[in-house]
Amino acid sequence: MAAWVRRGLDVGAKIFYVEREDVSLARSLAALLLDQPDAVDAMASGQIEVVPADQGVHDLAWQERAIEEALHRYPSVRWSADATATWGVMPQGRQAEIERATDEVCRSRPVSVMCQYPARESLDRIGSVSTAHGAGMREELLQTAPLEEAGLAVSGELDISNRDILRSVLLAATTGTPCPLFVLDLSGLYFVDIGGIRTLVGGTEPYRRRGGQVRLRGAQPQVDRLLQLFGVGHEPGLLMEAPG
Amino acid sequence: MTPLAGAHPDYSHGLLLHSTDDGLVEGTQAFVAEGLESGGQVLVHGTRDRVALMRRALGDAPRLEYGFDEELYLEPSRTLFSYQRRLAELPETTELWVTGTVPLGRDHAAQGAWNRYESSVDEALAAYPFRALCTYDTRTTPAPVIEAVRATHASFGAGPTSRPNGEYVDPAAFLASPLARVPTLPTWRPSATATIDDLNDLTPARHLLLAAARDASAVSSDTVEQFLMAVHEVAANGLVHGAPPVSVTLWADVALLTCRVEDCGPGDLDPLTGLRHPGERQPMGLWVARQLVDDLFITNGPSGGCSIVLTAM
Repeated sequence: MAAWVRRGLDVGAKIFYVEREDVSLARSLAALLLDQPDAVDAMASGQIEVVPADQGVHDLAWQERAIEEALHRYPSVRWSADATATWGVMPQGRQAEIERATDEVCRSRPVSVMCQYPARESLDRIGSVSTAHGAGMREELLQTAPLEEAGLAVSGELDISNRDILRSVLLAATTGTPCPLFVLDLSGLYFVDIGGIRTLVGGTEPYRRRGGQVRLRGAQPQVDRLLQLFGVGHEPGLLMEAPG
Repeated sequence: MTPLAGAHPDYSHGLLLHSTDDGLVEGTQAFVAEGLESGGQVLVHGTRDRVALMRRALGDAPRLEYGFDEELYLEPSRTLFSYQRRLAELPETTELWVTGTVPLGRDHAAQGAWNRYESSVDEALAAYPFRALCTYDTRTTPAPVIEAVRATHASFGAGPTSRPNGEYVDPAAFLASPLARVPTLPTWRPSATATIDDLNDLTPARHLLLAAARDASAVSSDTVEQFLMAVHEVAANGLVHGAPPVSVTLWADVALLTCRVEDCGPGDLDPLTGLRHPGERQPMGLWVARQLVDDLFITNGPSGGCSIVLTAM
């Protein structure tokens, strides 16, 4: 999160940060940015604006108005919220609606939105959550982003700590994709374990059973080695694209 | 001779000791003829000079190929598993016949690795229709190497005309003998240590070891990443099949990575685990780990627990 805020400051963006009012001091944005003097200044000047959860997340119109106003003064806007802030006060369906509307805002304006979901508590929702976030998913070690063609870029490190998340993301991403081809771009993936490979295989299995083909692209040498040892190329509907 | 337990009926790994070039050519000719007659694929490997000599004597034939040691025999573990992959991918009824001289190691330790290679063949490849005839020239091969090859080949000759070798010891017994030259651990202070209590600890432990390995070693980054993939699988294996806590100790030298992974389980892991190709739905962690590193040793300590040492350079 700090890196995302940092990047926002560097490009002169207005930053909205939705925070629960009961957040502990240690987990607050102020604590996160304590060692960055210009961030502290930006909070004082209003470039970084901490929005109490009730106001920021209940009212879509308010959110749009705030973004519009900010865009008069700043070249772009960054917006971040912790999804758990709304769980207590809003039905899941309503939240999904907001996520989709927010995704629309991102597509039409210079706005970057980062939604925070605690991985463990959100596991059963990750599938629907990930499809509502057009720009992809960032976990501590693992990131995914949709490709221009039907497919997903998977980068970072895939291991026991995040493979359940990836399985949900893969299932959700391939569910809406018409056959025949789904690309998994692995060029940014630099660690994977055997369980992670089983996840790549298992998470795309329903799609492949429906007749879809999954193409693995751009694996780094060490990842490619493990894919080969696992015998991924022998799985029906899975193709390993030759490097280069 | 008594076949190896669980071996394919058409598996054999025999020895040809010769003291003349004619002895070598004759023995190889007979082996190759038998192999071609069986309908199998035949591979004759050696140094470039040796292959030229053999090609003059044997000529060319369909299903007969020649291979150079500088491509096929670079590193023992890689050679072993590349034969295994080739055999696993062959049609079930096709036999593979291989003959040649396994190269000498460049030093004491490297020779130990080739000694263990010869012994491991009987574990890693015995499930396949594989016939190997390893040829050694008694004029030029050092005596300790001859002693080792006499202990690692169950027969003289290969194929139906072979005769048993009384000096043979099976792979488990060989690994426990001095001929295996199992390396000792570094005696200097480790570069990093980590204690893994559950699966959640695997990720931070891996990051710690990665930083230490990069910091202290000049080993290539591909090698480091593969090495840590192997350590990760072995540690996960220790948690699942052994018992926590699993302690990991890394010694990162300029050109050599050594890592010991110890669990607190019953310490009953077969030291040969991971040499055979895992079947469907069988655990594959150690089989994969062996192929990501140069060497992997399993020992079970007297006080319980299992200790696995991995090395890469």
